[in-house]
Amino acid sequence: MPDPDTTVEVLRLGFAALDRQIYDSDDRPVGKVDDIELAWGEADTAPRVSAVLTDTAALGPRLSGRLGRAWAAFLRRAGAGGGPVRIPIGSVVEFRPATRLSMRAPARVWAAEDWLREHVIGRIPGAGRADDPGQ
Amino acid sequence: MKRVLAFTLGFLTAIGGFLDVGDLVANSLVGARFGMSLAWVLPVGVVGAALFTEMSARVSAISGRATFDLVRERMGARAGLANLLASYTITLLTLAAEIGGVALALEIATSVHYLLWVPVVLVLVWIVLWRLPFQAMEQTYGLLGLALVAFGVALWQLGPDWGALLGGALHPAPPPGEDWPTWWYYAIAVFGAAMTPYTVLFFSSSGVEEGWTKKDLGQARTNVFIGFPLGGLLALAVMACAAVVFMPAAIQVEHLSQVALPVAAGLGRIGLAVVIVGLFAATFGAALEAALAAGYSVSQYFGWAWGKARAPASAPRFHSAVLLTLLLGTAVILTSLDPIKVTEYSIVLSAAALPLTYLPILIVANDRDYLGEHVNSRVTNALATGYLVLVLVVSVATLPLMVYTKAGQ
Amino acid sequence: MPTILVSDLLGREVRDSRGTALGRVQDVVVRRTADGGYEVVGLVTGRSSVAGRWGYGGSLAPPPLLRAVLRRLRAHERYLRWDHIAELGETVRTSVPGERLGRRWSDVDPA
Repeated sequence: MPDPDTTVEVLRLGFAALDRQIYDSDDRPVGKVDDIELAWGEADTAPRVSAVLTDTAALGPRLSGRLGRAWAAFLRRAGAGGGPVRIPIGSVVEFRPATRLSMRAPARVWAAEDWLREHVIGRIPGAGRADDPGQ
Repeated sequence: MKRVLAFTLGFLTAIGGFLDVGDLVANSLVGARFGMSLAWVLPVGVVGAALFTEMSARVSAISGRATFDLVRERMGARAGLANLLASYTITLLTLAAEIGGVALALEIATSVHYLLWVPVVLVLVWIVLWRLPFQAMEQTYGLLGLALVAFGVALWQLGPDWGALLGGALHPAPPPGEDWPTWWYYAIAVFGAAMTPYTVLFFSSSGVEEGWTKKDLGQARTNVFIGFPLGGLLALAVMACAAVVFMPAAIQVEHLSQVALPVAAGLGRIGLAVVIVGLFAATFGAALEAALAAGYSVSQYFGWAWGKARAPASAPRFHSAVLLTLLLGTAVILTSLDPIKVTEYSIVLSAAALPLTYLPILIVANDRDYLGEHVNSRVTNALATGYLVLVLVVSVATLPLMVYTKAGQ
Repeated sequence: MPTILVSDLLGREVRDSRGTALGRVQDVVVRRTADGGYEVVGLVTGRSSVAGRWGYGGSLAPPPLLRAVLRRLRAHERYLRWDHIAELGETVRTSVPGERLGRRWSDVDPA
C-alpha cells in the first residue's frame, strides 16, 4: 500500500512543509518554514504556492492568541522591522525531510546573526576557532 | 584507552541524570529522612532515563536531527514554543542550581562564602564552553566525576548492616513519624531529578555535534547502558550513606556539605578531598550540560546554526543564547536565594514538565520517515508507553502534592 | 495577484452547505504540478490537527495505547476539495453537505 504521507505528488503543507528546517545552497541553516504564501493567477481555479516565509516576523501570526500578541509586541520593541523574508517557491528544491533551496539565502536572513557576530561574539578572542580546524 | 574514554559522554550525561546537584541533594535528603524506603525510585528512574535517551540518541544517529528540531517540526510553531518556554525555564533553574552547587563545593574546599565564588564559576563555565573542544570537555568532566565513586567506597568503609539496608529498600513505605503524601512527594523529587529532561536534550544534540551515523549507534547505546546504571549505582550509594550516617541521628540534610559528610566519616580527610573533587566535577559538568541544552533547544526551535564544535563566529546566535542563559542563571543565584531551595524547585518543576520532552521523543521514535527500520521495537514501545503513563501521572500529581505537603515539610 | 498565507487559512471555521459545523481548517493539501509548482487541491478540516501533524495515518506506527488516542483525535477529520468551497471567508462554507466530504485527505481526486 503506498503511504499517503510520503507520496511525492500530493502533500499536506502543515505536515510536510511548515516548521521544517531550511538549508540554503551553501548548506547553511537559514531558519524554519514559518509560513507559506498562496497566490491566485487570473486563469487559476485554485491557488498555488508562491513563496515560503521565514524569520521571526513570520512566526507571530502562527502563534495567534495571547502568545502571538506577546510575540508581536516583543518584536516591535526589539525593533525588528521589514516583515518576514520571502523565498520564491521556484528556489525550493524540496520540503522533506528538510527544506532545501537552490539559491543562497537572502542577506536579510542573517541580520541578527551578523549583528551578533560583529558586535558581541566576534569581539571575544577565540571566536574563530572550531574544534575541528576544517569547520 | 580509546575504549575507556568512549563511554565518558554517557557518564557525563548520567551525571546530569543522577548525580547533578539536584540528585545529590534529593538522594541525600531522602536517605537521611526516609532511609532506603525510596531506593526503588532510582532503578525506575535509571531505566526510564536510559530508555528515552537511547531513543533520542537513535533518532540523532539515524536522522541527524536533535530533539527540539523535531519538537518544532512535529508539534508546530505554537505548541513547540510553549514546550520550549517550559523546558527553557526549567533548564535555566537547573543551571542556576548547578552554578550554586559548584560555588558551594568551592566553599566547602576553601571556606570562602559561596556567593563570592558564583562570579568565578560563571567565568570558568563560560571559558570551558568557549575554548575547550567538545570531546576534551566530555572526557575531563566524565572522568573527574568518577571521583564520586568515593560514596561507594565510603559506604563500604562505614560497615553498615547490609541486611538492614536491603530490608529497608524492600519495604517501600514511609518510616515511623512520616506520612504517605510526604513520602510520595519525595519519591517524585527523586524521580524528577533522575529523569531531568535537559540530559536528553544534551545527549541527543551532542550526538549531532559528534556527527553520529548509523555505525555509531552501538557506541551511543553502550554509553547509555553503561553510563546510566553506573550513575544510578553511585546515586544509590549517596542515598545509602545518608541513611547510614544521618537517619539514626535524625539529622536533616539542608546543605551540600552535609552530602559529603558521610564520606568524611568513612574515609577521613583524603576521602573528603576526593569527594569534593567529585562534587565539583559533577555540578560543573551538569552546569555545562544545562547551559548547552538551553542554547541547543532555543537554536533548534528557531532553526539557527548551532553547535559547540563549530567556531563561535559561525554560530553567533547559539553562542549568544548560551552566554545569555549563563548570565541569567548566575543572576538567579546572586539574588541569594538558597541554592538548595532553587535545586528542590527545579527538580519538582521538571517532574511536572516531563511529558513535554518524553512524548515527542516517543512519537518520533516510531516514525518510519525518520528512522526507517530502526523504529522502536515492541518491547521498547511497551516499556515506553508504561513510562509515559507514569510520567503523566507524576506530572499531574506533582503540584497538588507540593501544595498539600507544603513542599515536603 | 491576490495572495493568502497558510497561517491565515489554518484555524478558520468550516461549515457545510446546511450550516453544520465541520470543525476548523487543520491543513492545506497541495499537488505537485507538471511545471514543478504546487497547486492547492483542498483543505483538511476537523477538530484537531495533532494526530495528522504527528504523522498518524502515514509514516507513524504508534504503540497501541497511543494509537487509540490518535485514532480518536483523527476520527473527526474530513477532506474538503477546493472546488467544493463555496465561500472562503472568515468562515469557510462548502457547496456540498458535510456527509459528502471524503474522510481522508489522501482521497484526492486525481482528475
